[in-house]
Amino acid sequence: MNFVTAIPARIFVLSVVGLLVTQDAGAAGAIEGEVERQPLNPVAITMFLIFVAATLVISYWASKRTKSSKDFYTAGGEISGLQNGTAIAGDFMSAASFLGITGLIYLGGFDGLVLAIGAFSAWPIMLFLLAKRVRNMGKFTFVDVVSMRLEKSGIRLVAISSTLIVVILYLIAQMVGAGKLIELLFGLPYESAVISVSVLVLAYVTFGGMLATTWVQIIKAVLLMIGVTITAFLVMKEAGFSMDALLAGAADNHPRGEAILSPGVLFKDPVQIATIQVSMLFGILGLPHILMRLFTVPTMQEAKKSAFYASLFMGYFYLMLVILGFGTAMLLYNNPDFFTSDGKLIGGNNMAAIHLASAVGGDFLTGFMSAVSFATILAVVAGLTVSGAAAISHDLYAEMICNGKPDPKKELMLTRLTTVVIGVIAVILGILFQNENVAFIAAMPMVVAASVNFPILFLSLFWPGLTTRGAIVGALVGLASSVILIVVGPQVWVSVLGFEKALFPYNYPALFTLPLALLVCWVMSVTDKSDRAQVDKDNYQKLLIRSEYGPDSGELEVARH
Amino acid sequence: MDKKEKLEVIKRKVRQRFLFSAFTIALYFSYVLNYTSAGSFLSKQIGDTHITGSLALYAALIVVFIILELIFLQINRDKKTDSGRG
Repeated sequence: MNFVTAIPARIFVLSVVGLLVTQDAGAAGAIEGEVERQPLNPVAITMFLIFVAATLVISYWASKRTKSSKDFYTAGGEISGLQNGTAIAGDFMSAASFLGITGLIYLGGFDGLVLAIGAFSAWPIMLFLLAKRVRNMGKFTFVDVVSMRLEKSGIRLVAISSTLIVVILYLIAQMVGAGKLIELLFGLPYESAVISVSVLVLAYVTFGGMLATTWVQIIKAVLLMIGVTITAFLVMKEAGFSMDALLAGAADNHPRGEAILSPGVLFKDPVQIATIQVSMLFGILGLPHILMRLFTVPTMQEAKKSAFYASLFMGYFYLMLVILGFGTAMLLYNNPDFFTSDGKLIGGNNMAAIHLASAVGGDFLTGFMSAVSFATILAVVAGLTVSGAAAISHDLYAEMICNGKPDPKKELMLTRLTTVVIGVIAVILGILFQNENVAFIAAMPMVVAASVNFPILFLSLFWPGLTTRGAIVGALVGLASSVILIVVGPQVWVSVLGFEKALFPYNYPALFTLPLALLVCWVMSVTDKSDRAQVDKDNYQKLLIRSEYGPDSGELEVARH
Repeated sequence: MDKKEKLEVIKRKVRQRFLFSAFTIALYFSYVLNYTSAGSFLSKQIGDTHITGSLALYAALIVVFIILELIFLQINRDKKTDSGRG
């Protein structure tokens, strides 16, 4: 008997769109509705325990090498471009991508791919625009970069706040998603699942810092790509290794027929698509835990290679998702084993990828993919935890409170303490939000990153006219407008607060808030005639050579006050 | 290389960065065409296959972006500006 179809206990699981990077009305395909918790899955648990044992050994090894804050935040800056690119892919190819996008394709065919193209396309821009300059201008975090030429206390405070908002919201979404997903895949109670994730992540991060996190992400990326490749191969085998036969089979079995091969099943409004695209593209470019990875490599060339390898792996992954997504349509719809008595896919649409593994590879592949999904969550949460810890111990304590001259031992101790505190907060928030609709919490980090972090990062790197006043006011307007428009949008105004109609029609307002933030940055900068404004502009010119040639290029020291 | 030459190189590289980025962003937002009447031709199937123009566009965008990255890396293999350690 397929283990997925066994039903030991019924539980009511509310929306877990937090797991997803998604999405809109009904299309979310989250783990939702009335679903069944699965029995303990011995294959999945055995594989997962092997993964845990391997990563804990790595953490032990990494802990011996993590002796300073630099080791903790950036693995000593000694990760190669290929390793870092794989780790970035591991950090970014979350359960949301794997389970969420496959689930969306299962549900609506081609329309599910809009999130995939959004998630992928940020990486070329990361390479062209940001990788080198961010690497050259920063030390450990993106906050270092934006504060380099501006008056550091004000802009640091804003950038730290934005980092923490993004990290905490992302963390809540991941933890709630993790709890629900693990409950479904492994049969563990929700609270145990959330605590397990947190304890494991703390073991990796507290002792092994970024080095352990990097290797957890690398292992997970490799396992995920192996799993996806095997599943895609087996799906193609079912389709006689013909893409045409796969799409024909999907269209034959899907209730919407050939409509799933074209746009229009889930989305119709081009503005809605543009809002999603802007939020995804520019949101990723402003995610602090992703930007932080650019500092883990020794040279600028390696930073650029990191972005390229990350693209390469993700490009492959998102192409494979086409096979997996349409494979679910071809192989699941006509198989009653995967449906509840009332005709719903067991576990919700996000389980489509796991059911597909079961359909083509039996219990072994299902166990493997379930274990990989769990590992995926650990890798993402570990990256977020390092980023959150760095925001407090480096950006706030070392750079602001100690004015850049902290006691190294105290800083490292504070970093580890902060990691534990973030882990505890993650558990508390994960349990508190257990039965809440967290869809808007999943949307918010992307929109905030796109409307706050990206504008100030981009302008500080490329616009000589940016002043401290412009950056701070622009960032605050970006933050306020993002939060307000999300609250009055469909996910909060209608789904959470219960109003009949949303005041703002889109869930991802970055199409409007990003230009607004840029405009405010510009207006407040060009009208700024203060002495500080002149210092900010002069600093840009002084840092220009460093931004291209690196910190060893002998650039002039910038003025701080 | 003196400071003036370095600044010239930087100017050229910034233009190049913006050109690659603008091209990528333009291609990226061409995806919205799928949802407009101007892009209705994308919904049609290619030849006798079930592969639609929309699906082909999705795959082509990913491949083209990777090729663009390769070209960018290739034309920026300047050891003098890329060897700095942080």
